[in-house]
Amino acid sequence: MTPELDDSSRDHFNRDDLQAALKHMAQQQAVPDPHTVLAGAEARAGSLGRRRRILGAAAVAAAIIAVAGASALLNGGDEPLGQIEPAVPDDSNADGYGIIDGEPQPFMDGLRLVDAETIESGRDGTIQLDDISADEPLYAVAWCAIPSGGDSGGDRALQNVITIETSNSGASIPCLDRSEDLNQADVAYPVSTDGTYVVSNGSDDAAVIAFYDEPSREDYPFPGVDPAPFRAADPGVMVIDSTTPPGRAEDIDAIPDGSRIFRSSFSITDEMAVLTMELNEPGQLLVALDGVVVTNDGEGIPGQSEDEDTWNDPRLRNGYIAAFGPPRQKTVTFSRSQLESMGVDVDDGEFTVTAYPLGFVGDSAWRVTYSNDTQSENAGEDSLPLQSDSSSFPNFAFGHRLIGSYEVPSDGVSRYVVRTPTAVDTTTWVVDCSGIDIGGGEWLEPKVGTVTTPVSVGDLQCLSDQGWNTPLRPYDMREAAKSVEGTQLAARYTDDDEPLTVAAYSPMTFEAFPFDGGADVLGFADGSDVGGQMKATELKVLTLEDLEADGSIVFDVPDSRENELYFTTSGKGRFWLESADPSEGALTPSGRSAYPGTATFGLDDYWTSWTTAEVTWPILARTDNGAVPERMRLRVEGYDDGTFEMRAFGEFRIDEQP
Amino acid sequence: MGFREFVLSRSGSLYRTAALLTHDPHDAQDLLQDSLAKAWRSWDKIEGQPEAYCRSILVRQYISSRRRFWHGERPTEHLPEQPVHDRSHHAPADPDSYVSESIVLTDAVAALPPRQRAVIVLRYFHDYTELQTAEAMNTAVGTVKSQHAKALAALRINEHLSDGDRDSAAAKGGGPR
Repeated sequence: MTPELDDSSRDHFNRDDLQAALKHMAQQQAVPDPHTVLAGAEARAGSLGRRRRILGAAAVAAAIIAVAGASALLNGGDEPLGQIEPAVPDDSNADGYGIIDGEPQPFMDGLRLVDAETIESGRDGTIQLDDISADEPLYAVAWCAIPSGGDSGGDRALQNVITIETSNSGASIPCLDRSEDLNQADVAYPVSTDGTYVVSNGSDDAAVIAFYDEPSREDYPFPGVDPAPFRAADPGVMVIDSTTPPGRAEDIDAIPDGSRIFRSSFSITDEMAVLTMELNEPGQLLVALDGVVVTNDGEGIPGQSEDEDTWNDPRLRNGYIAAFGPPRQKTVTFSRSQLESMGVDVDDGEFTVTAYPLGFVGDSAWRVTYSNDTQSENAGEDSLPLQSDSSSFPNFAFGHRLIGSYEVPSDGVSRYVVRTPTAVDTTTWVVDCSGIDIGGGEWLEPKVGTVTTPVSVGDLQCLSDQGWNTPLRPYDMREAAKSVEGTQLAARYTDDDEPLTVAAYSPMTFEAFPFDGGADVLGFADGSDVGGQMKATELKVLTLEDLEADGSIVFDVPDSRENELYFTTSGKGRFWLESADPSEGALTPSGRSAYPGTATFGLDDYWTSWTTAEVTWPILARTDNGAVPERMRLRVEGYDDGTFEMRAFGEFRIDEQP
Repeated sequence: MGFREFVLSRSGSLYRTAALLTHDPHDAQDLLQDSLAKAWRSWDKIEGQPEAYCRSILVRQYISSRRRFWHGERPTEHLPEQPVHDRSHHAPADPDSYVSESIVLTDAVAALPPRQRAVIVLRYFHDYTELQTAEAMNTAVGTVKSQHAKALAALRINEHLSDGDRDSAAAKGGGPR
């Protein structure tokens, strides 16, 4: 029962009382022996979780996960089997994807099972793969318990997240839906030089984790072919297939000279373009856009150097999209800026699409389509169209431009967005929380949805005390710039059938952002609170008049236990902060916990308020390296028609006040 | 500093954080060991102070583990055996009421929702600033402010009340102490 503090005790205690109470509470606890703590921590760090090795790398054919065991984990052994749903083959997944009768398939989608393990909910497990080369692609796939129905079913997509860590990398994946095709959003490709993979099951149920490698075609069982004809291409969609007049390759290093190729020109008239490659029987297809091979996932193929940030798409091998059995499709969405980053000259908007099919039996076994429209594999009947009327969101906010919004059904199911906004790695997602009852107390910061990109899963949350709620931009997504397809949105299941409105924003440069755009622009609220709750002592004030001719100044930072810098600005401008000691680095906004949008999501490492209104906000005087500099350099740009003031505060204990 | 050396030298401080958050010695040790295990995996990548890094893991782990089981009210099983304060020079006129109300304060801290409790522990036990608290909790400063304000209100903390004010009020019979 919660202790009652009735009105008679109101305002009865002060901060000193609270500090003393906490100190007393802490002292009442007997600190455990550090050696005991160390032993426990080391045991947990090396915990095997609940090891249930299914097969070794050399015993692929014996791959089995006993569904009874998995079910027992879920239900205490008394419930009937079937919590882990078997994969059900359908038209697009002829050999069935995922898991059948609780067993990860030994061969799936051109991949070969190496090892599998069941991890209990909330636990970690370690998988050791000694025969795997860190240089070869290795994929991790997860299946979680899928409730048979009811309310909890809707939450599945939001809850089931598996993380994998190695000494070299980390990755996360959602649980695979039995009806999904396998794509980049479903797999992780953790790299481990020592063969050790630590898997954490963050889902609410037991999960089966399987590792797959890429076998050679000789090692992969040939399934036979029975190709179905492609459906008719949508109106306006350009097509390259075996009926396209062929030519001979001579200008693309990855295609042997003299090979028969199929080529057509293409003009991107919109900001986005979609390229879809379809294979309906086993074979390989290389597709290039203005000579840049887009069916490459970073491997060193002729004419293109191996990418330092190699990523892996289970569909791509050696520069080709490969089909090993069932029909295969891959859709790539490009923006003009992405094409430019790939080395394509985008000035005239004209591009040449080249297709090079290899190893198909039938002439009509492959097809390439492209369009300015974003009708694609991902834009199926159940996908989410982009709403251009997004009146509940500002057109510009904190250095970002509104692209549009999506109405996401509140059923917990992940759906592809029809039009992937610009680049996955720079898109910021914002929820319209105005009609959402966050219930349970604000501290909950309830998840209202998820964004799943090819390389990450992130939570969408609502906070009532932030102007822009909680913008989400998946971070650390270096690979994502090349993986531009497959963003999915899901909204938490609710009973009221009200969809979740999620907006997509794209970052803008400082120069282009309309600081003074009136109601269309969201920046810091006018007159933001500086806090003022600290036992801080004002130590220094700097204004524009104090700056040198080049707009910079070096100043001493008073020696206190902590320093905070409060900036009050008006007008369009930005500033840069760094330690005067170059080895200590800069104070950049990236990744810092600051007021939403200070510059945290901007394109550069400057600080700005994104508004011309007069606002004040604090920055902790600590560099990205963790140093508390003794001398700092401030460089200010702009504020020509406004004001700039920096006030430095030191925090001291009561008995250390200067 | 190596991981083992760090644990042997600093686990006591981290344990106190865990104990203040969980209010249970067994939960505190579990939380500490889980957090250290997570830190161990990233030990070579830690930049800055490892203790602050570990405390941040610990706080986040505590908050996330409590979210699932939170139902708006949490029972408190343990009452402190002693008054919160031992400041004889501020001894109240009525020691019995002093003890009982200090117990209420201590227990009320333990009954705060997890995020509010984390803010209180970081701000008042570890003397974290709002920004440091926000970074440790991986949340915005605005959230820290709001959680802080709610916690102080729940605890009946008057930020402007000095001991002198209170003693004067007590002497005039204007307060319950």
